[in-house]
Amino acid sequence: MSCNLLIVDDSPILRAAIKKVVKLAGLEEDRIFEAGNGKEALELMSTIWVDMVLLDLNMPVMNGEEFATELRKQPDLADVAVVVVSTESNEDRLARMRALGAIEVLHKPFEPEDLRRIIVNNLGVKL
Amino acid sequence: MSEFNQDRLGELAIEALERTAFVAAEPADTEFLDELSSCEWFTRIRYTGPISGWVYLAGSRGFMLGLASSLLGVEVEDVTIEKEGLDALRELTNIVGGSVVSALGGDHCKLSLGLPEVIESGAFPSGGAGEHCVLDAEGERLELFWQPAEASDAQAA
Repeated sequence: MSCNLLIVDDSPILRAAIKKVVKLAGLEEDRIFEAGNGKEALELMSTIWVDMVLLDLNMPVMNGEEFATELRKQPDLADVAVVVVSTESNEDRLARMRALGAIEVLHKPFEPEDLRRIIVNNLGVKL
Repeated sequence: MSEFNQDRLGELAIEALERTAFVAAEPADTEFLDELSSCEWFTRIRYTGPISGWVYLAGSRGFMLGLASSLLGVEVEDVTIEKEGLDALRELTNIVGGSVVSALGGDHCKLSLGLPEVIESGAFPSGGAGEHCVLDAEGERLELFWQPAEASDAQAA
């Protein structure tokens, strides 16, 4: 199945670690994209279609909540699946993310298998 | 909050290391602390809300190289302290900080976490209020210090 996935996290090393898990879930490397903050992610999404965003919340420049707010304002991107992958525990902020359409919240530290299951369940990629 | 002690701090870091990077760690044997290399790099992250404070981390050179190589799935020779090593320690600080916030805030957490930052060695708490633990991570040293705000404010004064 052809799906594009975008990892949005300000830590290059964590993006690389997540990318490893995503590849194990069955996505091809050339369908995995990266952005260091919400602004970079929106710029990237203006040029390529993305099926799922793995989104950190605490980032400089544009954080995950600001990104999701902007994303939902754009009719052609409003239905993109967003999975929060973050250390965030603040229940008010997580509630706002769910209201913005986040389909899952994965807390760091997470088991790679948990992330793989979310990708497989939501994108239907092959194991 | 009184339940949050150095054992719990260590457990959170051990869990973060195992889950995120498959790095095994355990509380260091106090009789053999001198056998672990000294910490050379230091980070911290702040949390705010109804209560506030800092979580500090410090790692030895070998710890940071090992952590970075494990996260990336490459050989230790293929990573550098200044790039991948520091990024790895910052991310571990973020994850441990998030776990501390979750433990302190409970099920209805109102605390917010800042961004991790690299600090000078002198900014790492040398004592005082808070909890301190030393971990032996596959023969390398990782130190953690949790400092509630009233303690950090007093130190700043």
